[in-house]
Amino acid sequence: MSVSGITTWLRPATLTEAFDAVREGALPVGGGTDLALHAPRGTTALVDLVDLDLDFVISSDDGYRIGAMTTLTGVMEHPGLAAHLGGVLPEMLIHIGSPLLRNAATVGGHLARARLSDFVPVLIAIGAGITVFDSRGTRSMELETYYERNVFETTHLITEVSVPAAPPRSAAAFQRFSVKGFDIATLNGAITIGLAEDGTVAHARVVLGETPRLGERVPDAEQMLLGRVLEAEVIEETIAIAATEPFGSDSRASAEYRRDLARWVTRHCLQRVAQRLEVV
Amino acid sequence: MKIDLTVDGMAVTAEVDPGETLLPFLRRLGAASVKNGCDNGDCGACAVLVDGRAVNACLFFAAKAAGSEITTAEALAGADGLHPLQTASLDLGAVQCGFCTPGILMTALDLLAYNPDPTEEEVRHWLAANYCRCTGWVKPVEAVLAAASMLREQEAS
Repeated sequence: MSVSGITTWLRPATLTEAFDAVREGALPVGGGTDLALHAPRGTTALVDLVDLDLDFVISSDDGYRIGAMTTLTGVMEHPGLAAHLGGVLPEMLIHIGSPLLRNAATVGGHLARARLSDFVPVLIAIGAGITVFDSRGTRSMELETYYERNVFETTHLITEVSVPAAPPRSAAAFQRFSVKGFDIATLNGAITIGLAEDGTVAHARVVLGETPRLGERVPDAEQMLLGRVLEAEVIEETIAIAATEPFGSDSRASAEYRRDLARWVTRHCLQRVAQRLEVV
Repeated sequence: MKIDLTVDGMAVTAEVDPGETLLPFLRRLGAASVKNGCDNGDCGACAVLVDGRAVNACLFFAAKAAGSEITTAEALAGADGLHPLQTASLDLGAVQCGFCTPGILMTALDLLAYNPDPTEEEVRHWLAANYCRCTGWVKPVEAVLAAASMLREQEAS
């Protein structure tokens, strides 16, 4: 949908110029798919980040660096990222919009909007970091810190997302519930588990999203899992803890309904992680 | 503002509004195959390729396409006749009212470029990007699978 009232389209060649434009009120454009529908009223200038060389995926022993202008399709089609932790990224991304949307929508654009996200819970579960550029220069932080400290409410540009290398013997899984396939999730969750040599859990991240808050870890569940073997009883305990999170009500579901969904989402995530780790 | 781009193989210099998307822009250029079904990113009737990837023209700012190569369904048929996707769609009855057809063809073109031998499930997943209110999708899915097979045979010969 064309956006009325836009008088200026900028295409800067440097991050500093792009940031200056944003500081003066221009909105940064990644793929533009969300802005085309939801540009805030009164927006007059857009700044296209296409010339900033932020469309890349770089893999190394430390993991992956994903440029903010990488499309969601670019993540799904990257062989390393697609297979990371048993395939949790494509498992989740396939639910975001359609191929047509994912061909345009960018990682940075999605995270900058920071609402209604299947992506955020998965990125937190796999330990992702984010790098932003602002008047202080470039800095990196954990993705959960970025949202916790409301960095995203300050004026900045997202430049990249980092995904750490997988812990030994690890896998992750994502599950969402929505009324219809294309609907935004009523509740979603993502879990990463890494095993020690003796088969006990050495690394655990349990994340629930759309609670209706953006993805957040469930630290009590993670603590409980450490040192345990991923068997039926432990899965039930994790589910019980996940259901004690503070859920909220909104137009999509009541808190009580979300509590039931959290049990279902957690069970599916853990069962799939266990399958991927071949412990069941 | 003025942008330079390539549309269906032709170099174009054109005036665009900075807030305008590709959908009204391409239709203004005469590409009537780019259909305005919902103007909301839901229906896929406006799908075109931007540098080889299918996108919703209604959600893609025209100014972003500066320097890009746009392909619409108008460019599918070449000197050798119809594209296999078009032939298969006609032969297998995948075109009824036809409004969604150009978008389906462009989505399928992207799918087959990256996945020449898709499963029926993969085709169904991709065509979920394109609403079709006539066919119930069965025939378009069959047509894409048949076109994939034709394209693989062309590639092999």
